[in-house]
Amino acid sequence: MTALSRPGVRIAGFVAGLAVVFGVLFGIGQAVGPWDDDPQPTHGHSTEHDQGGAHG
Amino acid sequence: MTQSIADRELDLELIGMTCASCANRIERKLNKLDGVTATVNYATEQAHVEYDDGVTPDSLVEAVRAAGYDATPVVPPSPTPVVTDDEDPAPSRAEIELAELRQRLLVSAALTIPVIVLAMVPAWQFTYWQWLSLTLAAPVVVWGALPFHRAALATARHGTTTMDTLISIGTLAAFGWSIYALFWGTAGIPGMTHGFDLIASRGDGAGNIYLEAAAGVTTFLLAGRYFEKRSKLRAGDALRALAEVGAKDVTVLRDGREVTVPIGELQVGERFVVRPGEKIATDGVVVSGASAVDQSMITGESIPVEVTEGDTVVGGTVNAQGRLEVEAKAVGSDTALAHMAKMVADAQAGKAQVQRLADRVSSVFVPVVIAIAVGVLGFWLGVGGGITVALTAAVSVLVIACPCALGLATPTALMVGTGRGAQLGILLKGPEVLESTRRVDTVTLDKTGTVTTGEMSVTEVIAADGVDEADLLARAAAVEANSEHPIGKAVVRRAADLGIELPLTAEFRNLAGAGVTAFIDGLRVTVTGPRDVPVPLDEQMRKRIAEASDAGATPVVVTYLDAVAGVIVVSDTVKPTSAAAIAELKRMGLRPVLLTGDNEGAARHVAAQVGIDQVIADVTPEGKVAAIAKLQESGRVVAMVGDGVNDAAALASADLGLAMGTGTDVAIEAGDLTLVSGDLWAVVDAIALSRKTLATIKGNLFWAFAYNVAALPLAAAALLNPMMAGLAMALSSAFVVANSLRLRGFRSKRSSMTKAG
Repeated sequence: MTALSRPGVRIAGFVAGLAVVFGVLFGIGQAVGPWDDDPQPTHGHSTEHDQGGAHG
Repeated sequence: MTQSIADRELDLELIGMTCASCANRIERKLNKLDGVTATVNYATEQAHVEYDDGVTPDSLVEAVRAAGYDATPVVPPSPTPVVTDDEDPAPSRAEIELAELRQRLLVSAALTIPVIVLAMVPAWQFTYWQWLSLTLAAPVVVWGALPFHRAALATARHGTTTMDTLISIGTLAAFGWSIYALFWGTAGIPGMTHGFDLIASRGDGAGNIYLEAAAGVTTFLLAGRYFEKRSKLRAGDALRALAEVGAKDVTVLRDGREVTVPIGELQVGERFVVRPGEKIATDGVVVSGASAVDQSMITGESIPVEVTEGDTVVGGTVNAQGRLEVEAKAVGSDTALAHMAKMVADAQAGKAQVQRLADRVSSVFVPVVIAIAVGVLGFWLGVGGGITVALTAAVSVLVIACPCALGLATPTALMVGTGRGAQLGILLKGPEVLESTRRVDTVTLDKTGTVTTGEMSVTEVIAADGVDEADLLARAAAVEANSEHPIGKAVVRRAADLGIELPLTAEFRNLAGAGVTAFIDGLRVTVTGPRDVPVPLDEQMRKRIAEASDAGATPVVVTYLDAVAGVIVVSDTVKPTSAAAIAELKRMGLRPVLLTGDNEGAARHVAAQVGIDQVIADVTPEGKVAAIAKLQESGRVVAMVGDGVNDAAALASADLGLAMGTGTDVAIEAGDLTLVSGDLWAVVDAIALSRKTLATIKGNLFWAFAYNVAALPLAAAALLNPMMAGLAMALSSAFVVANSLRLRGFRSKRSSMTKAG
């Protein structure tokens, strides 16, 4: 049985791979950003309330 | 389906499969065992396993369990239907699962609709509406989507992923985020409202909820699963109908008494009674009585077939008229009906080459998609798009990527196509046959029994000068009535058709290999071949005999009073449908070739009648194989249509073998396709249906792939709302299933031509 055929090793390897992908893409995003062509939400989800009172 | 330890073959019923990736995973797990070759079919939810002595059925079941699923060996179909006191048989596991799924779908849909409506119509978003949405959506995501979560967890334990992983992660991500926003963010405060848009936009993630997406995706996917499962049950209807054709009870003759027993107790060699209107219990030979038998459920032919003593009858057909006593020749799994059911089941359980490609793609698809989703999340966070856009894009990617439609593309089309084929009397041996039908450009046809009826009939009666034609036929028929020879039977049949009364005969003798003779009214009457005529032939008779022989017919000479009284010409007749069917084959771009062991003259005569240009005559069974090989060497892709044992080798060597018969012949084992009706229109239908099935599979695969390829970038660019992604995905599965079900409407070319005519 090779190390790679063990489920635990494979899951750990996959998660590590995902972390690398996330990091690389996050870095690329930061490099090409910021995304500010639509700073005010004109559609989609919005809140119409006092957001300050929401935390708690 | 068989479970035979001696043959080391086993069919396993698989439990817990939810997508094509599951099927692929179980197949790989089984094939890893030494000495095991397994094929898993997602559509039938069965595995066909061939294994060595060192492997036990238990170890196969264990291997499936180790993969995170369950399995039970398939009980071989009972040769007889189990007779119970219950009018309604117990529902199958698939039916119970379908009922459970239906309940899950209905409850989820009832809870989801208000959640979606509230999310879509800001005007109806009353104070605390978001908390009602949470109350309604929670059971949907937790209980409704439980089959997805359970399957995802089972495979995750083994370090692998399936399409359920995508669905589970997608819905839980949307639901989890909503919980966070409601309890720890700003979405839970009284008076919060939000709109609904197909396209996501930047915003404050902690102020938004995705409950409509989580519940909506779950419900749409449950709907997709429900309709998929229901279509799988419906697609198997033809096979079940075939299995239910058989009789349940049989009236056996034991010690001269009629005893009704369950059909399972009937033994080969026993005699049984079939009354008018009853089903013939099993395959056998008529030993007493005469009747017309309706074979429509076996052959598709609507005209009843006359049977009398010595004729064979097929189990499952209906005795239309008289009482028959039949000696059982085959029972249980040896019957024609059981063979037909097995051939259909095998073809449905097999897997086309194209499907294997789709399976391989699916197995790498899931981890790649998870990586893309994580990458998309990272990118949108990095670029400053906000958590809403990032999460929306990532969840959309997970949901849209589910290749369910991909997994359904081949099995559904194959099941519906083979099922429809079975209804038309076309039995496919395996799905690889479909590919062959696409490539075939030449159809070689055996003559006797395929293009012609294989039954002799009188085509001409030539009386000598001064001899009455009816008298000639009456005397010849009277002598031949004592004979069992096909030519004799043809002469007798013709006399009977004309209503001629036969005189009495005496001292009948069979002249070995030459003919027959008997006395009528004290005069010797002889019927022989032209070579064995006991008196000289005049020039005119010689000429007529030569003409008949050249036309491929068989002339017999009748002599009495020491002179030739006349010649009766007998020939094998062309089936009435052959010419039209061959014209249709030509119209489909196929080149017909007549391949026969008969002489060139007979072959050319028949070929001219049906419109075949190329004739290969005077060939032995080995010669037929050589002729096909020669055609193949010249670049042709050859289909062979034959019916007899002598055609078996040619059927096996052709690129596509089409066996005509009742499902019991050696030819059927050698052929790829069996045509139950024995009519050349069945060849046309078989090729047309196979081509249509293949085209449907390819169409399904194209749309399933195109959908995923087109939708992924849209989802990654955050241009697709997760709920719309779920809806679109469910629609793609529904499209594939509906496209496959169109094959149920395939009409026989014969009926469409008849209508057109």
